This record gives sequence, C-alpha cells and structure tokens, in this order.
Amino acid sequence: MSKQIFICGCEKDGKIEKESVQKLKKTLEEKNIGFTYIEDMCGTILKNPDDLESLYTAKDAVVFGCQARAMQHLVDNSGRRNEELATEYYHIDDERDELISSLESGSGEPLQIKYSDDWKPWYPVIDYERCNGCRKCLNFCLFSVYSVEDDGTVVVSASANCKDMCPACARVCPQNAIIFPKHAESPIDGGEGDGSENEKTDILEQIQNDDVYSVLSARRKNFQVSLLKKDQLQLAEEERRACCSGGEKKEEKKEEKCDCDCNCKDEAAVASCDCDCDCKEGDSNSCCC
Amino acid sequence: MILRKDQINTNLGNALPQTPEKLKQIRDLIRDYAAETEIVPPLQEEEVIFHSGELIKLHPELFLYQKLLAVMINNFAWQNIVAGIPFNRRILLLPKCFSHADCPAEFDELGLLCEQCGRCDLADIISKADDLGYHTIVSEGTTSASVLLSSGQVECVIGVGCLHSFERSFPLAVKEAVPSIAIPLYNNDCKDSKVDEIWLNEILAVRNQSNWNGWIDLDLLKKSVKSWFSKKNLEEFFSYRDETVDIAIDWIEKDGKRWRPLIMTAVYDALTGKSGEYDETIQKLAVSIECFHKASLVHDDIVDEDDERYGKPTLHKEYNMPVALNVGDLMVGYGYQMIAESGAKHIRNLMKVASKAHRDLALGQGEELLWRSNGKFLSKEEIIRIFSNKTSPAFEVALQFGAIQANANGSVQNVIAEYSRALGIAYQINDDLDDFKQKEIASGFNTVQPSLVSSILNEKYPQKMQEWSKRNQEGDASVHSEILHWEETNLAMKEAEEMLSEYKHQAMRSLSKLSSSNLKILLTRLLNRIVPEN
Repeated sequence: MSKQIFICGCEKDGKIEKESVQKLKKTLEEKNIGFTYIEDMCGTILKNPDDLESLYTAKDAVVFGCQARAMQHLVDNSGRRNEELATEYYHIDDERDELISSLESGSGEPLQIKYSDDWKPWYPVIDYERCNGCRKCLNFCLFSVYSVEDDGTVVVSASANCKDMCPACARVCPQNAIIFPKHAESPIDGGEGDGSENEKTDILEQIQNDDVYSVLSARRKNFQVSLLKKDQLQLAEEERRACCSGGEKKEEKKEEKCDCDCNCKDEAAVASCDCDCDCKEGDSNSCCC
Repeated sequence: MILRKDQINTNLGNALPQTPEKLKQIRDLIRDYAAETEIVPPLQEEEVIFHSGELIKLHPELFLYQKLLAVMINNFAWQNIVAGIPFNRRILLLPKCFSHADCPAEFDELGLLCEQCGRCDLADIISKADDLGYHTIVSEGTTSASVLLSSGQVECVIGVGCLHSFERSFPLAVKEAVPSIAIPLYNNDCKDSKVDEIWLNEILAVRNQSNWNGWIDLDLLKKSVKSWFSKKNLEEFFSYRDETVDIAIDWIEKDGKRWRPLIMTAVYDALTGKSGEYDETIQKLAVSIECFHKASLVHDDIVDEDDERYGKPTLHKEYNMPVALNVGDLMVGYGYQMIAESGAKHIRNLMKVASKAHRDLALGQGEELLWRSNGKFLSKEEIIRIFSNKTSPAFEVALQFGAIQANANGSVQNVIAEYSRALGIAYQINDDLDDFKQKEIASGFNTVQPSLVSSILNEKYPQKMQEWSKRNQEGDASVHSEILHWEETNLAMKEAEEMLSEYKHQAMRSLSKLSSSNLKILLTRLLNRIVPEN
C-alpha cells in the first residue's frame, strides 16, 4: 500500500516546533520515503488552493502538522478533497514509529509547496460535525467573516476580514465547533481541550433574570476567591518543590531598602546610620530610612 | 467552496485622530456647537447623524471623522446624566484586545477575568475603576454589551471599544435609552489596542454632587403598583359593600399585568423626579384607569363570545350576560367617580382625557363591529384607523394621567398624543403578526378581528383571497392553517413588519420634541417593552 505523506510546517506562525518538523523530515529522508512539505497549509489553501492539487487527489494521504481535527476540517472546508478518499491526520509530535515503519521506501523525492504571501493566514475553520447552525458567530463577529448559505449552512465567507489573533467567535460558539488552527490553546486550536470549556456558567442567563448589579458583584467576588486559591496552590507547589530538592530552606531575609532617592541609599553606611547624608533631620541621628 | 478570499472594505469616515490633543480639540468643538443647539438625550440615530453632519458643515476638515463625531455627540448628550449616576451603578466595558499576547487570564461567558498581572494596561484601568466602585467587564466582541444593554436593568455604561463595536451596540443603547459614554480605541484591528487614557480617566472620574433621579426601575415600580390592587385597598376605594361591587372588585383584583397604572406612575415619576412614595391621589387615578380597562375587557369578552380569560371563565360565563354588562357599567361609573374624588389638581383636564379616550374606543369598536356583519376586507387605511382608535386611547389615558398629575404643559401632552397613536398602532400590528407566526390560526380570525396582514394580502392578491374567504365562509376549516404557508402571506407579513417598524419609528420621532430627558428615556424604554423586537 502506498501512502502519500504530507507535512505542514506552519511556517507563518510556529504553532508547531520546527525541530519536530526537521526530525520527521530527516527520518523520512533516511528511510528514503517521499513526502510533500507544505510550508503553511492554512495560507496555501486560501491563497493558492490549486497548489495543493496533489493533496486533494491523493488516493491515500497521511498529513502531519498541527491538531488533527484542525487540519481535517481545514481541508474539508475547502471542499476540494473528495471525502471518499482515505486521509489520516496526525499531530507532528504524535507517536508514529509504527506508522512510519509501515510506509514504503523509495517512493520518490521530497517536494515542497511554498507559501510566499505576507499575510498571516489567521481565520476560522468550522467543524461541521459539531456546528448546529445557531449563527451566534455570525451575529458576534464584527467583521462579517461569516455568512449563511441559502440552505442555512453557516460558512466562513470572508476569511481575510478576520482579525489576526482574535479567536472571540470560537469562545462564544456553544458547540466548540470553531477552530483557529494557529491559536495557542486547546480546544480552539482543534485540540480536544480539557473538558473545562464545557463547564459554562449560566451567568448570561442570570443577568437576564436577576439583578444585574448583584450578579456582577458576585462574579467579581467569586473570581477574587478563586485567584486567592490559585495563589495558595502556587505557593504549595513551590514549597513542595523545595522539599523534594532537599536543599536547605533558606531563611528569607527581607532586605529592607529605603525607597527614598537620597544619596546615602546604597551606601553601606546607611545600615548603621552614621552617614552624613543631608536627609538627616535636625539633630536626629537616623536618616530618613 | 467555503473558503474565499474577500478583501477588507475600507469605509470613509472611519478615521480617528491619533493624539489626545486632537481628540480633546474635537470635544471642545462639540461643546461649542452644543451650546447653541438643544441636545436632549437619548438621541436617535438620525439625530446623531444630523448633528455630525452639521458639525462637518461648520468644520469641513472633520469629514474624515464622521463616525467618531457621531460617537462624541452622543457622549456629549449623556455627559451630565452620567455624571449624576453613582459609580456603583455604572458598568465599565473594556475590550479584550487590550490584553497582552501572553495574557494568563481565564474567561467566563461575560469575558476575561483579569488577574492584574501587569503585562498590559488593563490592570491599571481596572484597579482605578474598582477603587471608584465600577463593575468592570473585559469582553471580546459585543455579546456582553448586547446582553447587558438588552436586560433593561443597566443604568449606565462606559464603553471602551473600536468604532466597529460601537456601530453594533449603538442601536441597542438607543433602544434601551441607557445613559452611556463610548471611548473609541485608536485602532480598529483588535490587537495591541490603545486608548486615550487621559480622556478615559476623565470620564471614569466624572461625578456630580447631586444624583440624577431619572432612572426608573420598572420592575420595582411594578411591585408598588401591584400592591394598590389588593382586595383590602380596592374595598377601601370602592367604599360600598354590595354583591355587584364584590363581583367588580374580584374581577379587578384577579390577574392583570397592571400595565396602564404602571405606565401612569412611571411618567409621573419621570417628570417629578421622585419615586417611592405615592399618595392616595396617584393610587386612585391608577385604580380608575384599571377600572376602565377591566370594564372594556368584560364588554370585549361578550362581544367576542370568549368563554375564557386568563384561563378562567369570563364574567358572562361565570354569571350571565346581563350581570356582566352591568358590572362593566359599574366599573366605568366607579372609574369616573374615582377621578372626581381623587383630589388631583387638574380634575377637569383628567376628565377630558378620560372621556375622549372612552369615546374613541367606542368608535373604533363600532367600526369593527359594523365591519363584522358585512364581512368584506378592509383597506389598510381603515385597519390602521381601527387599530389606532381601539388601542391608542388606553395607552394615552395612562400616559396623560401621569403627565397631568405632574403638571406637564400642553406641548408634553401633544407629544404624548402623537406617541400614543403610533404606539397603539404598532402594538396591534405586532399582535396581528403574532397570529400569523402561530402554527394554527386562532378561531375567529379575520371574522371577529380585522387583520392587517390579510388586508395587505387582499390588496395584492384579491383573487386568491376571495377564493380563500369563500371557502372560509363555507366552513372549510383547512383554510385556516393553509393561509399561514402561502408564499404570498410571507410577503404580506414582510410588508406589515415594515409598517410596524415605521410606526415604532414614528413613536420614537415624536419624542424628539420633548425637553425632559427623563420622560424621553422612559418613553423610549416603554416602547420597547410594549412592542418588543422580534
């Protein structure tokens, strides 16, 4: 079975480690396995979609890159790849020894698909397995990135209008169906998330039904409490680390530093206060600090 | 093909000067302009556009900043009122795009929960606002703003954002007449955003010595108003025990949203600037209005042959027709008596308003009843006249009573008359549209109640409607739900919707002549509550 290998390098953003890409390329080259290196799939698929013809038509494709779900829906959204064709998507850091050893060697020279546009391809990709067509994103986006087709499907129709680094629509999506492949966090980047994103509070509902001001006050209070807990947790972790390292616990000596800006500030003499700095008041023997 | 590469539109008039000095200079120009023009908040979108056009005429070099001017004029209009609102009743909305790329904060549905790590300017602004007592929200996009504005509870918003986001939120702020000040970001590209901090700090700290009393908490007021309709209170006001009186008191006491008394009291509060304490005069006037209303319901139920109201038997079903007719008349009598004995200052004026409304109501009802017996389709104009006669008087009495009791002058009363007419019509069109949004059409449709949508249908597709009406008369029940699915009905509904928004608009426009911003704010909010957006 001959699989066609594609690697996306995410060069316009660095969402994935360059080292990982190099390592994979090297492994494949050493084994004499042919592959196509795509500098930036997000960019090419939008700006020069025809360059990806080999990906659309590959009978059995394996794509390495960022989050599998992100790549899958990016390619699906383009509408160019026949969905009947087999395609596998893997994160570049996924365990893949088995897969690679199953690939045929001698399948050709490495190819490269360039992306030379200045524009950083930042735009949303819709996971239609999740999207329920509620149109929240449509109403939410200030820049008319989304629109609705005649059949009611919400589509990304003006990708270039999307504002670099703004993932706001993905946050309001109740289905977590919007992916920004280049976003730093999961699940917005197409990852599976840690489940906490589904724990939506009912604060919007509360605002509509209860007194707005008390809801907002309560929100602030709760948050402050949670910050406090976070601080404690951090402290606890630091303390644990200190215990594990076995090092002597240093007695923390607070260095009392004066915040005045008089001449004597940094002089050793300050400690004993026998300096002749002019900040000494009258016949008092101590300086301002 | 789902991915496309559209170009970004650039609109003229979107620009923003990039220095605090220039922004300040524009604020000063607006102040000079406003000194010679009366600007009473809330301003309508057209008013804001009009004023910015005038400013550009005076200072042509400002044409680049058209949108900014609109924002700043609106700010100016609200400035004094905002200054009278305590800090802890103000909400500060900040944009998420202030935050640093490595912002560690988490989000909830309202926005970013700033940890004040100090990577961006947010911490600084938030702690200042916190110290003053503001409620601060750092939001992405305009969802939080929309939810807050449309809650109808927010008394004041200070918003920082890009001009795009203001364009989104402005219509909502106008609709809910929320005192608000918008401070635009220097840039519109959603990252590394900066704001004129001098301006922001100035606005945040703005505070008059005295409080503004124009905010009317309708939910709270409703509670007071409802308490006047307790059995005990009614018995005291009716001051006569008899079996017929008991029926009337029961009928008034049970159910009812008390919309009319609420409207009356709210107008009174808005014009007098006080609230909380209501003497017997106000209470008696409120009860008189409710008497008229409840009497009209008894008579309506008889005329429409309805067996149930509020899920309970109607009066003529519970007793019988003659008893119900008589109880209705008794309530009308009590209504007038209560006005006469209210101790109000302007009883003659109140009597004039109430009796005229009574007459108009009967005329509207009369036209409808006579139409029923001939069964022809009415023209749009006839329908509008019936709508206006049947519904506007009830709103008008309530509004005028509040105004008269607050010693309002003739010009306020003229505005109220114009506003009520448009409001009443809008209310009925909305009601008519609701009928068409059901899965099945209510019984008596178009035979008992005239409908604007079917009149439009008849004007445009007379043949289709005549066939329909023929089958209807022959008792073919399937025609009822069928009409809901016609493509033509959809078009007629669209036309009716346009008329609805035109009448709502008319109601709003009538308010531009008011010089009391408190009343202007209240009537703007009421319009939206009585005829909600679909």
